[in-house]
Amino acid sequence: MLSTAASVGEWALIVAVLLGAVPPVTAILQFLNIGLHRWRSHHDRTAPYLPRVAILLPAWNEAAVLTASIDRLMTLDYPAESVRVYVVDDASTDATPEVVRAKARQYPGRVVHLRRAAGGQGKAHTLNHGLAEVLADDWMQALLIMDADVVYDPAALRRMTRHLADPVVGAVTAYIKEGSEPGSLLTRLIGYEYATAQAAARRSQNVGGVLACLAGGAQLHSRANLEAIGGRIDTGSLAEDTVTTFRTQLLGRRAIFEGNAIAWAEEPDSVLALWKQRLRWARGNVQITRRFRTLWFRPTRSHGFGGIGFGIGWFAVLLQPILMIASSVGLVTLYFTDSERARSVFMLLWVVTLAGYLFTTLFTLSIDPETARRTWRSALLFPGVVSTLVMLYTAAPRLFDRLGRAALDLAGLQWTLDRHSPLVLLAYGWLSACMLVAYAAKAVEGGRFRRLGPLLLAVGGYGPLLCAVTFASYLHELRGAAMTWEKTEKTGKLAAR
Amino acid sequence: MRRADGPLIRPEASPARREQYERDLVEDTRREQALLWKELACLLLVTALLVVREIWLV
Repeated sequence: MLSTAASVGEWALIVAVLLGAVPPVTAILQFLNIGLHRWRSHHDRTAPYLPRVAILLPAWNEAAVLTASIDRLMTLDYPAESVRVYVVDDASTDATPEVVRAKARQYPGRVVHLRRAAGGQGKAHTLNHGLAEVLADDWMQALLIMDADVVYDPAALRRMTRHLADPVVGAVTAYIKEGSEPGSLLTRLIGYEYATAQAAARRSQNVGGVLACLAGGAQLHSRANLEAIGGRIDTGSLAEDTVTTFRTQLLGRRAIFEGNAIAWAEEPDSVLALWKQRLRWARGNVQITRRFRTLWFRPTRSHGFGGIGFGIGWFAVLLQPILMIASSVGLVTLYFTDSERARSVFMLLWVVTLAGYLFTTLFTLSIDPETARRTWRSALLFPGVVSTLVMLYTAAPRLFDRLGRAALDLAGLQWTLDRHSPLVLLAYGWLSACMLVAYAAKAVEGGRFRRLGPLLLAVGGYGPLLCAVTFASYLHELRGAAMTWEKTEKTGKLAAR
Repeated sequence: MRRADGPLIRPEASPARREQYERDLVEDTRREQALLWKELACLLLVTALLVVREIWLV
């Protein structure tokens, strides 16, 4: 009886450890369908369609970036008479009104300045102010929602509007790339992240027939779609873009990712600013999960949100911190109860992680060679130095055992790398510890040890930092923290692009 | 006006714009089609590395 219980307990621990393999396996499966994108991308159902496009640009103290973004909109390769820019000034207190008024004089009839009397309620409220104005007359046939710092490649808009020729399509989103010049370690990590999360993952969603999120800085809607979703952007969550995406597709229209329509954005250059931005996004995703709880894992013909694949992909990201903690707790427990078994499960877990990392990284870099040239070093740092070393070790354990022993002998240390060493225990617990180290990169910022920030980020990893943010979002939602909109600071580093 | 395979073709696109549209489509289709080969190459490479690991490195 006792041995049966022990055996059940051991299997439970093994299952817990292997939960850590769910994200890499899900990523592999998700990326496998990208090769079919040519045949499932909706390009075959496009047409040369150039509707009158109203561009809605919400702005709260964005004087530093507006000149560049409006000037670039005026040079879009698109019929000039079919583009109007509506800047919704959210009661800015900087030079935003003067900048917009100057641009309205420079481009008469093409740039419109709308101003809210009281601001600071968040992007959705600002957008709704502009939407009411734009929907009040019938000039607009399509609406592009963007952020103040985003600049578009000249061909981006026409590459997006062509999909709206098919009335089944309600919304199209572009590929937003991080484009700060000069870049930093953090912005290059974000650049690589966007390549994998947009250029790769959203193509996969196109193939699957359901898009998880329209990018907030580049989403084009048909007028019919806007009217169908009530002519307003949802103000009840921190993820208004995702709510719009869900409502568009739940009402029977398609949402498309157009990876060849490129827009550039300036992303946070400090871990603290990134943390605030991503905490808002992560809390938004928790809210979406609750709000649409009746959809998950209930396949239906009317939309793709209930699909098993989509659900696994969604929850693999949402629950990743829990999966990582469960995995490391399982490994550390096995280390004390059955070290032999612990080692074999550890090797299996990390070989799967290595395979997932290699495949998704190589494929992502090949999908967007331009981003690859700028960010391939960041791709190596993405999981963090320690995780990369663990993956290298699992790739060639005998070789590294030999090298490790030789190094320790040279250093005159008696410490061994056998399966009872503290180093092994650290490796087993790393899937949890890496989140703590990445969190420390945020915690030291602005304090006495701020110089350690980049080092902690490199050691802990950018992926684990995002997991730590997700974990923090659970806590914020559990304690019902206030839903404050904290604007990401933009400084105009894209201007030269 | 409706194309044989479905989508609505708006009449306002000029011949120059139609040409431009065709050029975009050819370019983008070529880029998307290349993804299949890139994916197969990555899969092959990762599989080869795993096989090498199993045979010589473990």
